[in-house]
Amino acid sequence: MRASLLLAACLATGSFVVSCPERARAQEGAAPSDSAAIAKAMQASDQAVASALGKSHFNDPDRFELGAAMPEDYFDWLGTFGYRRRVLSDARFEHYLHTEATFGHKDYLTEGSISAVWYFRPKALWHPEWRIRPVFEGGIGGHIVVQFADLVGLGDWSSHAEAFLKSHIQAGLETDLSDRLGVGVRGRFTFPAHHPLDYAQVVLFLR
Amino acid sequence: MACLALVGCSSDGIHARQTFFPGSTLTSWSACDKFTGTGDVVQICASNGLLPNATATTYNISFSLPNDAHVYIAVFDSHAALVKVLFDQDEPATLPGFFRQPPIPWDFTDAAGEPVHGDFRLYFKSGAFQSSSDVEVP
Repeated sequence: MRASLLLAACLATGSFVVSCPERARAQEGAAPSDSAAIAKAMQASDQAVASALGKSHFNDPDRFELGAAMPEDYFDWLGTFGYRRRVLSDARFEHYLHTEATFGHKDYLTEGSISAVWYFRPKALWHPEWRIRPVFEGGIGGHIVVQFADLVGLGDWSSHAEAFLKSHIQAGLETDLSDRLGVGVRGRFTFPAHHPLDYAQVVLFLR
Repeated sequence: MACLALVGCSSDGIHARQTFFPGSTLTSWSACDKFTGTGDVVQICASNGLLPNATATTYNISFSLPNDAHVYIAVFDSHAALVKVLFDQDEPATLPGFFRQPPIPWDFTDAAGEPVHGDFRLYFKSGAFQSSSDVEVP
């Protein structure tokens, strides 16, 4: 409304004494073909902005994660490969489905596991615009763990599998190395468990 | 109540060592009181007892071999980790109708000589023949 009044004043006085809005002038004075060109240019601009944001940490719908974890119990190290996808976003939380496979070996024991965890990340604690971003989230997950034991001296193996349903809290920091590549460190706490710290993990993630 | 607020009340660790033995199948060697075989196959027996000149009860394993063979007897804990090798050598064939004398004793200690407690599985292996027995040490 204010822009229209300013434009009307400009046209009425025929002068540029009044500070006229550039875009209003261009639209009012443009031919139909120019309007279409401007609209097209603006649409292209919007798409470029959306595209740029879509490739950055501001829009992080899914990612692959390659990492190493240091568990609290028997194994010294675990290799991890994960896929994380944002599945929901409501007023208070972002919801992520995090699937992960791990592999570990020490002495006579070899372990493989697959997990699926539904994480809730409070939006109040999530700042995607920060260069180094704290990550805090809680979730519920199912885990299937298979272990193979080398029966020393027998030339034989024994295997055992267990399934777990656990609650987790995950906290850490992450930062971007580029638009698509980043690195994060975090600790996963599991409840209930004998050991409060399930593992500490460093991951390289690819969007 | 706090447990009910959390999913999963199991206290097992996800990446902790699992319990392999005794598992769903409990194995056990028969007692050495009587030889029941024909002598043409490997036979094993075991029982708790006090061997001559011993001061404490041991788990005593004996066997009969139809032919000369290498014999390996070892103790594994419930996580399938090797605890102690009891016997690992070539052994001549036993007299038909008899178990080896003296038996091989396990004094309920690990390789370092420290007393152990819990569930254990003993394995006997001779060539392609393999057998096991679960033992609980209070």
